[in-house]
Amino acid sequence: MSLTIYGEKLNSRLLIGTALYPSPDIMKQAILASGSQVVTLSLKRQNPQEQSGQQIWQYIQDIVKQTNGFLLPNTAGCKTAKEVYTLAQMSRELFQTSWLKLEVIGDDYNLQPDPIELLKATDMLIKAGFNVLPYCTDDLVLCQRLYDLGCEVIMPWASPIGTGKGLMNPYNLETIRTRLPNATLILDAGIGKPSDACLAMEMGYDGILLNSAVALADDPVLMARAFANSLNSGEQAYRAGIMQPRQTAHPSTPTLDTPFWHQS
Amino acid sequence: MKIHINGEPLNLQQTNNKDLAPNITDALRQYLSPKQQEMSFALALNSDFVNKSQYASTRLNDGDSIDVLFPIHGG
Repeated sequence: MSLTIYGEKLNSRLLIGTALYPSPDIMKQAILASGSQVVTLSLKRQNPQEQSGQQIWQYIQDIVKQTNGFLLPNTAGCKTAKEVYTLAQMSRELFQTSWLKLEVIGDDYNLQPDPIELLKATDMLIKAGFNVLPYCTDDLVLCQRLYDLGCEVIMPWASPIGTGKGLMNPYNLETIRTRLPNATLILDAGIGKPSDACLAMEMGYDGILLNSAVALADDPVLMARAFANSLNSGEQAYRAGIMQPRQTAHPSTPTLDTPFWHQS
Repeated sequence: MKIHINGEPLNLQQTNNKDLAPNITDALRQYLSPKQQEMSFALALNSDFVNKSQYASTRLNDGDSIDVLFPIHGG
């Protein structure tokens, strides 16, 4: 069940966010229950008197230490490649990692990534030595361009961030998997329930990145466990080889020596 | 000298050496408490990243804008 991202071997295929939990303590319990070793976080302005950000940071550091895990800073809120570039450098200095969950938002209504700025930012960041994990739409050609630029990992959306609508366009996602067999594909954003994650893993996706689906559950810790199980199921099913659907019924039980009551 | 930190206006006090403009370290000393200065943060000056090692050597100009960013939860 291991996954390798930019040379780092992970025990879980789930990457998880740190936002929206009812409390920092529940966040920690849920992330530990998920088995994830990659946690996303961000950088924001903060009132000097405000201590809550520092508390969250302490919790996140504890989680990473306990799981032998990795930080994945994001560039949430950025709208241009220039903004991304500045924020990325700040993240690298502060978090001591070259990993970056690249977000460049092009539309505030559905938080859809801007493909033009995304490619521009990816190019700048890779030249500056970053390991980029771009959040993008489920557009095959965009994913190909990101891969060609040097992204080992590509993260198409299932549906817009925070909607929980699941896989809006399974055909697009399957096509990306088929056409980019060597890319590490992580489905990011829009996952609502464990069966969504399972479906993506059954398609051959390498991992899932989610946040709201766990954080907004009535019981985030239990939901985190449910997602861990669903990823395992989907990944095993993909490796096991799923049967092809058939147009007509086929009896499972042998029809030879059918008992007398079927003879008329 | 007037600058902005995180969008808020700040009147920067002159340094002991009147020939030298205040630097980023001076601005942070005025904006953050000593405890807050020990916290984890990163900084941009006029939307460009500034490495920590350059805070003391980066002189400020009137109207400069500093962003001080701290770790926060994120998805």
